[in-house]
Amino acid sequence: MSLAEIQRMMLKVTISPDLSDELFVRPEDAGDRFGLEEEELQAARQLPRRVIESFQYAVAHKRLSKSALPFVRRTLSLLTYEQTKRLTRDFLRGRDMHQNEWAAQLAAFLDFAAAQAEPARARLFADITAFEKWMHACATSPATPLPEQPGYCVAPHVHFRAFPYPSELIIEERLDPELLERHYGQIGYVLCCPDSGKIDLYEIDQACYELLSSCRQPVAMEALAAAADRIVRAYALEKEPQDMIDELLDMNIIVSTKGEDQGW
Amino acid sequence: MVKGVGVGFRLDFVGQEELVRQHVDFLEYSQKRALEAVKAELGPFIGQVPIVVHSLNLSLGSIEAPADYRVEALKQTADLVDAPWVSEHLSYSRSGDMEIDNFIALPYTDEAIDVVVGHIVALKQTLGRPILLENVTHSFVWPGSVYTEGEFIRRVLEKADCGLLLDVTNLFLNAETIGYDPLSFLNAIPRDRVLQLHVAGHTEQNGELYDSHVGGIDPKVLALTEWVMNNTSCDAITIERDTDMESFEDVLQDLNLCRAIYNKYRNASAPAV
Ligand SMILES: [Fe+2]
Ligand SMILES: [Fe+2]
Repeated sequence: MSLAEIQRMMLKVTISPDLSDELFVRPEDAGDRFGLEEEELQAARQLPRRVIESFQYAVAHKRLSKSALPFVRRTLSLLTYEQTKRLTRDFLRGRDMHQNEWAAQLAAFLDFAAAQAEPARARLFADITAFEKWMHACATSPATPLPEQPGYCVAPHVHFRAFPYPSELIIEERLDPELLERHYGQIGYVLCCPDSGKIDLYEIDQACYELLSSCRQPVAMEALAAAADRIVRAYALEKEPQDMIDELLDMNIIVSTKGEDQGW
Repeated sequence: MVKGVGVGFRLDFVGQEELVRQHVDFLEYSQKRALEAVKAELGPFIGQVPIVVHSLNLSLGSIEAPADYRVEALKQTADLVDAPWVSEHLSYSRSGDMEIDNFIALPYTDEAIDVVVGHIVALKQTLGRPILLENVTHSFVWPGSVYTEGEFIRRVLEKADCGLLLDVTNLFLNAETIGYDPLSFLNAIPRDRVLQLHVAGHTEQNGELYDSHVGGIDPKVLALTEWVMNNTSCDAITIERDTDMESFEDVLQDLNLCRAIYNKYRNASAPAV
């Protein structure tokens, strides 16, 4: 077998669980597909199956870590090493990635992970994969310009959302499934600020979430102040409504669109 | 020239230039494609401390020659830092349009020697600098090899007239995983061709060993490092660290271990710190 043929076959084997299965389970098919002579087929079959399968996972994991790992860490932390390996190899069936296509395949991978979850963990996987898909969407959505309309609104690079778990539990990179299950239903609020490929997550409280929700679109300062006032009363907060607004303005989480940058 | 104890450059070192210069004799820089990024990262170190360049994506063992733009980018970096040498891995990771980020060991055959030597010689000519080849970790090799790994490497080094970047941790892991004697590997390598060492901590997960470049170098790896320093003319030890690191201080412990070995066999004046 020439070096060119060996390399073509090895590269294909390292990215294709379908091919390695075929090689070890139905060698004649793999032989036909690659035009292997009997002797060459025998050589290929001498490769240790378990080692090849581990290498396939290592290849996938390294590619993931180059492009998309921050967006699957939480989901994968719910699985053992063997489960992660199996999930990854199963996902790759029928999707031979000649190059690193993980960034484009990420949402599909998270959906796949959710669909493969054992029934008792189905809800947890659905929620956590949704959380990571949201993070990924935040990080990859194109930068939107400030609205034309004058007023105050959430900065275009800032995203926030409610999830059915305490936020301190899901912004961790390594999740504790038991703890999450126990606290399911306790709504948490997360703020996500993507910053040149990196992603920063912050816990916010319900009051902050409501204030941000009141200005998804530009509103006049009077309206924002009224919302802050209502929120401060509703939650009996020991702070001035205006301080609440100023904090968010200082952190560039709420910004003024043009025409509303004076006053206040 | 590069000699002494060095460390793989990390972005975490930025802002700690003084401390880095105090503790290392050279840096090893893993090649990045954009020259602007290289300048931004290495700026404060250029001209202050010798820098060797480590390339990861040329796939010198592939049938197809490395892409011109990659070779050109490597040349620009090597010229920028005036690298005493440039290293790449003795392996392949590309075939046609398929490319991975892991290294696959070449089959130990004459055809593979001819292919990789051809690419090394061409690269040496383009860069106008010495080339070192690094031994990679591997858990399998294509059946039908006609040489041992050590013999294969010796032939490549001699035919291409280049040096070896001996990754001692990789050698240790391969010896453990495949089951061979690391000293028989080392005895096959011409002693004057070992020019640089890599040492790093490794991890074990589910019975498999990984060159994870963590902190904490295994005593067996240190013992092999001692053997190499005692039996070859190698004069440069490099610590590789990819994890467990937030600042330069985190690498000091491993640096001191290597400094002690270096001083023991090379009588260097730089003190262990
Ligand atoms: Fe390397
Ligand atoms: Fe290395």
